[in-house]
This record gives sequence, C-alpha cells and structure tokens, in this order.
Amino acid sequence: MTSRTTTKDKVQIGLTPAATHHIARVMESGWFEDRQAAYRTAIAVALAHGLAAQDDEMANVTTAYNFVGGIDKDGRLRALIGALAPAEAARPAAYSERLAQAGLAYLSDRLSDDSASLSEILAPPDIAIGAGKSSSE
Amino acid sequence: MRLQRIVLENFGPYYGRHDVDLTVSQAAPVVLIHGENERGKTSFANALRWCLYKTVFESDGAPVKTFELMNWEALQGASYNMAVQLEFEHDGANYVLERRVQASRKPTSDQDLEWHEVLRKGGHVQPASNIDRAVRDILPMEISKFFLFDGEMLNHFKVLLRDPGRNAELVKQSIEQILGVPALQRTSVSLEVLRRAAEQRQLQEAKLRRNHERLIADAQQKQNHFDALERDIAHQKEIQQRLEQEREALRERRNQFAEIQGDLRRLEELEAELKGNLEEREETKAEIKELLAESWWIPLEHIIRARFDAAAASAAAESELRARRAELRGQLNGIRQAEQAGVCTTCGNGLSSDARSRLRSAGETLEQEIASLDISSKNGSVLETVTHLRPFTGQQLHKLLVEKENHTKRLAIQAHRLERDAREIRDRVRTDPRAEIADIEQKYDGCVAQLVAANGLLNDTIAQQRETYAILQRLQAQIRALPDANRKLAAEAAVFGSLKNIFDISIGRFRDQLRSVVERHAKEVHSKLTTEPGYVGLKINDQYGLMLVNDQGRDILRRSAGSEQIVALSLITALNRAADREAPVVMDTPLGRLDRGHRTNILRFAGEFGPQVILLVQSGELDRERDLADIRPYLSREYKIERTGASDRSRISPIGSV
Repeated sequence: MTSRTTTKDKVQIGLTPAATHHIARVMESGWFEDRQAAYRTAIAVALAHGLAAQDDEMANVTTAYNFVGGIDKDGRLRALIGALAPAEAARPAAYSERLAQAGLAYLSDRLSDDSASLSEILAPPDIAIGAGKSSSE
Repeated sequence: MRLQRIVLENFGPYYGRHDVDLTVSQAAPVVLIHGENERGKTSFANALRWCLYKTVFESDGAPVKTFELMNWEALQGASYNMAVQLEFEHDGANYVLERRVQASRKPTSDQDLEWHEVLRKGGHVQPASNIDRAVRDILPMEISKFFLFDGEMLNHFKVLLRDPGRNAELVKQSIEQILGVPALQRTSVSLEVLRRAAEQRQLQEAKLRRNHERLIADAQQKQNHFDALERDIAHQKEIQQRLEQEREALRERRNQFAEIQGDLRRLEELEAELKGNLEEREETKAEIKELLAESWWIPLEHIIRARFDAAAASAAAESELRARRAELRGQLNGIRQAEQAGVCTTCGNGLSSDARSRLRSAGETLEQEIASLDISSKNGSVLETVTHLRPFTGQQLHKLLVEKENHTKRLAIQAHRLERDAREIRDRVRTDPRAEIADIEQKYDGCVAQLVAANGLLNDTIAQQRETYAILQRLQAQIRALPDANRKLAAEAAVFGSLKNIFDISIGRFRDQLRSVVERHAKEVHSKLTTEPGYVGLKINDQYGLMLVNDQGRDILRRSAGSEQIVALSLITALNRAADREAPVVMDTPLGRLDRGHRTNILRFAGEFGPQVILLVQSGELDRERDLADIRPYLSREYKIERTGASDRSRISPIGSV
C-alpha cells in the first residue's frame, strides 16, 4: 500500500498552470457546456487510457472545484474509481485531479488535431486497461 | 426603280473601294451573289439600306450606329471615312445617290461623324434638303421591308400577319401604301376638310343674319365642341400610343428579369434551408454537449461493461456454488443422523453393520466434495462492483454520440452545398434587383391601369364626338333650309359631304378589289412554289394574312416553317405585282429554311419575283454545281464575296461571264 492510501484525501481539487492552459483549449472546441463538464470528461478519458499524472507534475495547483459538493456531487466518479481503480478508492479526489491533469493534456492535443472527430477521440478503447492501474503504481 | 451600280467604300468588311455592276436585262432580271457566313452578304444588303435611308437595323429592330458600320481596318489605318454610292433608274430618269461619313479622329460615336450627301438626277445635283423626300417618293422606308429583306424576315411577316394587334395594323398600312390606298384616303380626308370649310363659311355668312343668331350660335357651339373633341381624340390617341409603348418597354424589362426572379426565388429557398440547417446543427450540438455533461464516462463505456459483466458472472457462479454446498451439507446431515441412530431415516428399520459401513463411506465422500467447492472470500467486493457499475450500463452512449456527430457532419456537408449554390446565384445576380423588379411591376401595373382608363376615355370621347356630329348635321340641315341661307355654300358643303361618302365607299371597294388581286397573284405564285400537292389555294383576310386551303376547301391551320416561308414569298411577290410602283427585290439568305424541292421551285421562279432580283446566298442553301442550272436562264450577273488573305477584309468579284 502506498503512502497515498494512508493520507487523508483532498477536499478541493484544481488545475495546474498546464492544465489551465489545456482546459482553455478544450473549451475552444465548443463541445462542452462548461469547464466542469470538460474536467469530468478528461478524468474519464484518462481512466480509459490508463493515464494519470505523477505527483511531481502536480505543483502549483490552483483550487477550482469542491470534489464532493461539485465535481462529484452525485458520487458517480467515486463509484467508478472504486470499481475500476480500487487501489485509488481511498483518495478519489486526489486521483481525479491527477487523472484530469493527464486527460486534459490528451484532449487538448487530440481536439486541436483536425484529423480526428470528437467521437473518435472519446471512443472507448477496445482493450480494457488494467483495473486500478495508475501511473503512480 | 432599278439598281444599276453600287460602290462601297470602307463599309463593313469591305475595305477600300468596291464597284459592283447590278444592271440586268428584262429577260434575265437576277443578280446572284454567293458568300459564306460572316463574309459580308448582310453588309452588302445593309449598304443598300444605309445609302437609301441612312440607317440600318438589327434583326430585333434596334438601329445600328453608323460608326459601327465603318471598316475596322480602315479605322486602324487612320482612314476615318465610309461611303456608299448607288446608281439607279426610276421613272425614266437616272439617279446617283451618294452618302458619305467622315471623322477627323477615330470615331467612338455617331456624333463624331460628319455627313456628306449628294443626289444627282439626270446629272443635276438636287438640293440637299430634298434628298430624303426624293428617296421617300421613290421607295418609302416603311414599305422597303417588302423589297429589301433577309430570309429571317420572312418569319417576321408570319408573326405580323397573324398577330391581331398593333403590329398587324402597321403591316396592313405598309401593304396598303404599296398598293396605293393612302392616296385615296388622303382624298377622302381632303374632301372632309373642304366640306367643313364650306360649312364654316356658311356659318359665318349665316351669322350675319340676326334673325337666325340662336341657331347659328348653337351650330357654331356644336362645331367648336366637335373640333375640341377631335383635338381631344388626337391627344388621347397620342397618350394611348405613348402608354402602349411604355407598357411594351416595361413588359420587355419585366421579361428580362424573369430569369433573375427565378434565381432570387431559389436563393430565398436556399437561405431558408441554410437557416434551418444552422438551427438543426446548433440543436444537435447542444444535444451532444448535454450528453457529454450528463454522461461524461463515455470513454469508459466498454471498460465499465466488461468489468460489470465479469463481476456479474463471478457473482452468479459463486451463488451457484453456495447453493450446491448447502445441498450437499443437507445430504451429509441426513447420513450422520441415520448413522448415529442405527435406524433407516426412511423406513425406520434397524441398520446392519454393513449398511452403517456404507453410510460412513458415503458421508466421507460428501465431506470431500464439500471441501472441494471453492467459495471466494471476495464475494462482497464482487457484488459491490456490480452495484456500483450497474447505473453506468444503460444506453449505448458512444453509439449515440457517433450518431449525433455524424448527423452534424451530414448537416455541415449539406450546408456547404447550400452555401455553394447560394454563392453561385449571388455571383450571377451581382446586385440585388428585388427593389428594381418590384418598382417595374408597380410601374407596369400602373401603366396598364392608365391604359385601360385611357382606352375608356377615348371610347367615351369618340362616342361623344359621334353624338355631337349627328346634332351638328341636324343643325346644318336646318341652317341650309333657312330661306335666306347661301344656297351656293350649302350646296358646296353638301357636295363635299356626298363626295366624301362616295370616296369612303370606293376605298372599301378598292380595298376589296386589291385584296382580291393580291390573293389571285399570291395563289398563282404559291402554286408554282409549293411542293405540297394537298394545298390547292390561298385565301386572304382583312389584314392581308394568307391562309392555306386544302382540296376540301378547309383552312390548313398548321404550317411548317418552310411552308410559312413559301406563303410569305408568295405574298411579297403578289404585292410587287399589284403595287403602284416598281422596285428591286433584294433577298438575303432566302432559302435557308427550305427543303430541296422548295429551293428548286424558288430558283426556277426567281425571275418572276420582280423586275430586278438580287439574291445573296450561301453554299448551304444554293450549291453552285448542283443548283445553278435552275436559275441560269434568269441570271444576268453572278458574284462571289470572299475573304482576302488572312485578314477580315472581304471583296466582291464577278464569277466568269453569265
């Protein structure tokens, strides 16, 4: 068990300067109602592709959302992390922040490339990722 | 009038000076001029028209500017002049008419041209101011269409003669001018003027007699009223004519916009489709946004499904194992109870030692089987996974996203097509003419309404004039009957009135006779020209329109283009025969629409079209090798118009000796 599992989870999550830049570009695509929708989708994309930022990438995070009362107010995100990444189930907020960091970079890069459509970018990978695998494991 | 010579100088494609002898004999009145398309046949005919009337018309009736007739090469070489000289004989006198234009610099409009005109009659120069009147006396421009015409004009005659409107009336007037009817009409008008003058003098004289002042005053008033109404009628006719011209001009402009209006309607449809397309795209995009906001886990859909299915299968398998274990345990308990009691649990009889030994062995086997069943200790987490993932497994969300996105793509492609079509129309219709079209429509409707009102007013005025005339005649009769009236003046007015009536009746009879003469000639000519055995005759109507009649005596309503042309040629020849003046017949491309049989007939008959016949033909309508024999007996001269070298110059030169 890593040290993260023993540390208390975050209450507020946010964006690093790089993620702030990426989410702005993602919003320019016009496919998302608001930044929270883009943030959640980025988490799902990262989880699907087995992407998650390392701890050392998460410096200078600017708080943006309350996890339980905002990004995951219906608890679905926690349910998915519990089912698909049980190793991170104890700290879903911190894990979501790292997933969002990687997912926003991925989305920003793919959406700026005209060769792929939205549904191609968001296509679920055919080969399932290893359950609970994270880049920090 | 018979043409003797024409000299062209820098006219149309004729660069420099071209002298063409056109004299013919009575027995051989035909001059044949060959020329392929664009060589200068029409320019040759135009040179004749221009020299006679100073103007040339396009086939649609629009006048051609004189400076546009000047030879291009001459203008390039700084020779800014053009001239046509025509020598002809008329009523035993020889005439030379020369018209020349020149400019001090390259002309860009007719205002840059200076005109020089000379007419010599019997070698004597006529006053310049008399030239146009002299030409008019010899061959008025209004009737020249029956002598100088191109093949296409034959079709125009058909239209004019069948159209019951104003054009047919104009043609009728032109025809009657050829036949000499206007001279009689002028006499009738003169008699009316004389009658009125006599009545006026009669009134003046009677005015002196005080005892008849009231009657005279009434008559004078009615006469004044009658004259005023006549002026009104003339004025109203002018207005009517102006409105008709205005209406035609507006109709033409409206027709020009018909195609543009079609384009504009299509553009409006395209714009509406584009608007709908944009709205639908926005709607679909909003649906996609909503889908992503509410179902953000779409990228995990397959993983969720796989994990859910695996967990559900695992939970089901565990459940089966538990049920099996419970069943085996029940069986084992029964065996152990029987073994301990030494009695069969089914029949209650005591068990032998052998039976107890078998029971023990069966119990051991069951215990082994129960022990082999692997019940997972993780059953709780599997069920939790199933519970957590179930809410994410409803719809096929990615499929839905693909459908919606494909729909937006289809709409985008459709929008692109619509935009392209709209752009093409906008390119065609550079400026939006909708306001102009609406303005023309409004003006047209206004003009038609004015015309209807003007016609009504004119009819009312004419009726009023008739009524006034009847009253006036009654008053005049009373004045004539006065005992002290001037009998001489009264008789004079009565004689003029009677003469006018006689003339009017005579004109009617003369017209009938002329029509009958024209019909007879046309019938005779037509029988020689037509190749249709079923056509036995022609019938003329009041407008000089000719109807074909079959052997049953019935009118033939449907006529081919070639047949129409034969009828028109028959009419023209008949008019030339019945006319009160003689003129050359110049035909430009007269055989173009005809089949071989009709062409042969026309060539064989060409010598009888008039006292002098100039035919301008191209090889498609007259093959020299094949057809010349048909016309040779009537041929006085034969020319060929051809290009010189690689330039656009044309020259006209005689072919052999005829």
